[in-house]
Amino acid sequence: LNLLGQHLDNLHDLCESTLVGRKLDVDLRLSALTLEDGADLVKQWRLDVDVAIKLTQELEKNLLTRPRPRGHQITVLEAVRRRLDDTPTESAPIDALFERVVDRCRGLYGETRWADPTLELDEEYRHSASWDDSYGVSAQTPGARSETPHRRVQVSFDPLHFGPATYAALAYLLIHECVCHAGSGHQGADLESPFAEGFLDYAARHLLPVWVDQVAPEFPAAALRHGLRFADVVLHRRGMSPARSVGLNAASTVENWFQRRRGWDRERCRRQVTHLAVELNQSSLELSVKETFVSLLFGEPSPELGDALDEYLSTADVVTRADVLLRKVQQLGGAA
Amino acid sequence: VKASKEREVLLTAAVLRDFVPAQVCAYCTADEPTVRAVLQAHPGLFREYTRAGSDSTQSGSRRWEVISADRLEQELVEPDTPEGTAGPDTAHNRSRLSPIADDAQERRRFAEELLINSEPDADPERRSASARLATTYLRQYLAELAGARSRWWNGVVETVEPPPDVRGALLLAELIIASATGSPVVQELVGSLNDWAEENTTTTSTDPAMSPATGPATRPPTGPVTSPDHETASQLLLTAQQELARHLPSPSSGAVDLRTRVDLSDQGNGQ
Repeated sequence: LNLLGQHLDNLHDLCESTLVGRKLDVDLRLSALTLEDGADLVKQWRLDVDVAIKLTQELEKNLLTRPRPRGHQITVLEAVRRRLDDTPTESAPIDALFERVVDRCRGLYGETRWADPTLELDEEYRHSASWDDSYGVSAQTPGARSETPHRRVQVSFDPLHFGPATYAALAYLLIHECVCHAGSGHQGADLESPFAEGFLDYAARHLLPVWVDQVAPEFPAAALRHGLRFADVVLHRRGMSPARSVGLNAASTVENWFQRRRGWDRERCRRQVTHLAVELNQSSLELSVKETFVSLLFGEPSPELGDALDEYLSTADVVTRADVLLRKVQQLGGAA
Repeated sequence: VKASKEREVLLTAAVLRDFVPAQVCAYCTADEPTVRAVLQAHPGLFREYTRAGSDSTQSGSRRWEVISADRLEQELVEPDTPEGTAGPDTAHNRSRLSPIADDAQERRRFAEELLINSEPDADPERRSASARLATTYLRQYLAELAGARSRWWNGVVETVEPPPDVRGALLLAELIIASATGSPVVQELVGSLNDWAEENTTTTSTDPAMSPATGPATRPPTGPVTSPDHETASQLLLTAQQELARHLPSPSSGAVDLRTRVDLSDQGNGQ
């Protein structure tokens, strides 16, 4: 605490760019200390003191030249990635993490229905002062399947908040993007959608602890802890759309309904809801119908919706059962 | 194979019903050889087959299917299974799962939040998505308030239309939302509103202060509605509120009061 106090005192005397650099250096170290397996993470990341100092210097150099010209290629992130690579052929840790998530999704959605997305990184994310999180990262997967053969997962970092905790949270973030957005069968953007951002996020949250050992074998505990924390941080960010919480509540409603109706244990119910979410997402029917499904789960499912869910559960035909359910939903909800 | 892994595989197989082993792996921590071993150890529950048929993306693949769902369910019954640690952290969600006292109010609140949170400088796709969602939830809110839920929203939609008076209010509300959020469906809604006005002129235009589609006397009493600017949208909001006050059973129980939350006269789309 004394060290932290001295650090804060020093910050007042520093010019902006130096302040930013020092802050990053200290943040990196403090963040690493807060991780249960921080030492391993730092080792994996090779963020030893020397690298942190060099990174700080590079960051200062970048910030001193602000505003950066358009098309500026050497971003802080790229500098980080380059430093993390032992050889040019070795993929950077972030890419490796992404590839493992994609590999799991290929199994989840099936080889024939899944197209590997690509990963793009930038540092355009700007941390909002009103948000009480320290992760400084966001992501989106724009575009419809029909527009491009491969979807792009775009991850934006805020260099000022880029630390080991951010890296640890990436496992969840990438799982969310791939499970909720990259695997969708509907066309068009699904921003602010309670189905895509909420109902499917239930699946992402369920799969994180199941996948974490394979996706982030070097730091599973940190990835799980920061992933779930980050998921909740996003859920409660001020000014964010309520779509995510509405969709999550709808998924929990189904989970509880399964438990009461079928007498299944909690784990079975969670898997069933997760698979339901994935199958609905794969359907090529319009997103609006999927959103209607979520909207009908604001409270207890109606008897008609209950019947439709029962029919879904008792249908073995995996090719058509999700579509059948959605068509029933379309009738029940009067979807536009 | 450990008992916990075996149970995981059986549980997942029961959920999937028809699958390839890689799919089972995606839902649990077992690897593919383990999955195959478990499946082969239960010949009475599963069978391996080659899919044929019209689905070209799936045909020819070696798959497994559950052949005795009842027996598999029996196999999975475990008394008083404790909360698994592998599931999502739904403590927060469960705390919100208490029966919602008033579904209608929740829907309205959600629609309002969507509008309030829709940033004026957001990209068109995002604004359009917000408009679409707000419309869905507001429609359901209004229908529920009007007592139409059982017949229209939750019933057989092909044969039962919402009551005409509610439909007018709905269209107005939708138009306001679309206008406020810059949604491209404005023109379409204007057309629908004009159709509604035409259909209902003979029955409701006897009230001089409430000409259909155009609202009270402050609006032009006749003529089609045109694509509204913000000023017109603001006026439409007033009209909608009066329509709702006239037609809905209890304004105090939740008539749409968006004006206090969404200032449509503001240049920035009022969010």
